[in-house]
Amino acid sequence: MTTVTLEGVGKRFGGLRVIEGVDLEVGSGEFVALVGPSGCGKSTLLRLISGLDVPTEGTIRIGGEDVTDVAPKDRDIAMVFQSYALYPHMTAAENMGFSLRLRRAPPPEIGARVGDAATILNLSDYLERRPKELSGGQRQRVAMGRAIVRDPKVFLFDEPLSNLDAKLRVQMRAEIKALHARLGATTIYVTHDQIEAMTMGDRIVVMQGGRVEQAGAPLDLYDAPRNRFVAGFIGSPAMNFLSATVAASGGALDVGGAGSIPLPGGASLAPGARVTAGLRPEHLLVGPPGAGLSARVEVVEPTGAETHVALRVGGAPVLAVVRDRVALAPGAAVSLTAEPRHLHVFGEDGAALLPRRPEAPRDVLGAFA
Amino acid sequence: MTAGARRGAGASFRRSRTLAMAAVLLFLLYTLLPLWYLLVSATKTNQQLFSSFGLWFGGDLNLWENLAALFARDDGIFLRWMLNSALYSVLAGVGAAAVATMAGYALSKFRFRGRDATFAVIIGSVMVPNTVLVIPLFLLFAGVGLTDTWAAVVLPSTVFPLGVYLMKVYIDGAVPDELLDAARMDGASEASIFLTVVLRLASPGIVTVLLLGATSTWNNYFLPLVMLTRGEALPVTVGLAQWFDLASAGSGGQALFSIVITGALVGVLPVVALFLALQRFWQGGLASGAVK
Repeated sequence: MTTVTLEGVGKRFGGLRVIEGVDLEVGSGEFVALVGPSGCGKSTLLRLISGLDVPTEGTIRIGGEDVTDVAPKDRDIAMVFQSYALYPHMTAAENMGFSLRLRRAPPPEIGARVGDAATILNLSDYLERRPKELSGGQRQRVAMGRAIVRDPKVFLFDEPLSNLDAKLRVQMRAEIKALHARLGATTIYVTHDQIEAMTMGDRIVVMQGGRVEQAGAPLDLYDAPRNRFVAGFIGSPAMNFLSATVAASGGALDVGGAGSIPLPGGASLAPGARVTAGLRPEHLLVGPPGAGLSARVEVVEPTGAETHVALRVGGAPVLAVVRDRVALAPGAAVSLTAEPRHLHVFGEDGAALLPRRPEAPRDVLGAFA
Repeated sequence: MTAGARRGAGASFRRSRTLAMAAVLLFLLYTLLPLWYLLVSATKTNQQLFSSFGLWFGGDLNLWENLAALFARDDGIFLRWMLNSALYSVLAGVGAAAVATMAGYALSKFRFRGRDATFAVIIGSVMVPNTVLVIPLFLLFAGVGLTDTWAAVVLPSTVFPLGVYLMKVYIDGAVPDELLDAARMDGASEASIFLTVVLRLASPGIVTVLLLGATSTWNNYFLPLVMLTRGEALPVTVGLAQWFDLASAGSGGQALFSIVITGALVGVLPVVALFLALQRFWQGGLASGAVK
């Protein structure tokens, strides 16, 4: 069983610090998604774990063993790259067996292991084709096959689905997840797509500016983001943010002249404090003018299952996602309300001010018992 | 745009296209005329060379007689010169391609102190005419006793700055960093990455440099002229020039002109054949290096 441990890992390129004091423990067999915007350092962190780059500070352990200065080939890990990185002059089978050939494995063993991997990945009919004769999805599968045949301790994925179209991406997402369930290997998966991270990861690590902003289970991050960055990054469409002031009573937030939002019970915020209110689009209720926040409809986008309503609250843009079909026209005056338990409040430094607990899932099977 | 304006633009486009075609034809003529002159002259007798119109045949075709005389002259030394040229060119081309590929790969894919300065010096040395270096090279080779050997022509020719530049640019575009990383993850050593991955992906560029190196050595005159003195070590360029000098000196060698010109024709044939055979690599190599 293999854990991956990062202790105070940092990386500088000249004077530029791209990774700062990252501490992370990836459990044996765990699927961890590193997610963050472009340039946040997630791919660099993956390269440090792989050994393709060497950290300027800190220690990396794989299976408890310090591998900070160990060459990639001696770490017993495999990596799947964004561009697939298949050798164009080799067939799919040769690509998959290349690492075994370098290790001077007997040809029958190479053939057997490539065959097994091809069966798992539905590639058996394509083994004699070169990469240029394969579709994007097949190439991606060959890249995964190359990783699988080595039977490594740890799998690293660097944005492996970015080059695929939306439909194939969803399909491959499920395949990678199924593969992980089957192989049970420790997996670290880098993506900039938070939906990918949410759907695939046992745990998500959100990064920004070379630092880990928050790590936790996907729904924990959705329900209880530690700061405004994580709140805005996790969830699609993104959370709405409104500048507000804690009302004199301390029980609500005043949002400029647009109205107020009640705070959940037990919240103790200093009256008059300037804060940012955070409300997810799917938690907003659109109703006739009255209680809540006054808003004006700007654009209505029906998507079939739900309707996206773009509004203005004071000068701020707000998006509401309504589960049913609504008869709203641009320019209509409406009110927005939300349950107090769905309200997020962030201080001026971006830190979350309300203690929040992840919501317990509904017991669907129990309801029918 | 009105119909009249469209017609005007169409006429202007046709005019500029006709002008461009005329310019291209002019360049084509300029390039092919010497070859045509060579071909026509090689069919003439020594007398016809001076009495007939230079760009047309002179009556009887004398090509076979000229060829027979060329290969029989001085106990058939012309064949030896051709073989020497081929040997020097192949060795220099392969050597230049090997050095340029390794240097270009290092400059393209590895970060090391002084990399940019090294590349700047290499680019700068493209500007230095080879002729300037011949005398210092002669002194150097004379010092170690290598003059009048194949090494005196081949070794200096393997240093080919333009080839290094071409290979660096080509590898920049043709060999993705991720592929090298993938090979490292697969467990390949740096040497086996170079041999199994880089050489294969860079092969069009390598062929380009090999051809450039080989043809520049085949055409080289001054370096072998200075380095070699033995008649049987000479390449075809220097050998023919010696025959030409002999003919010009008028020491009973008047008949030599037709042989010299036939020798020149035979001398360019291998280069033309090489270009035609490997044209695909040439175009592919140069174009992909330039635009990627």
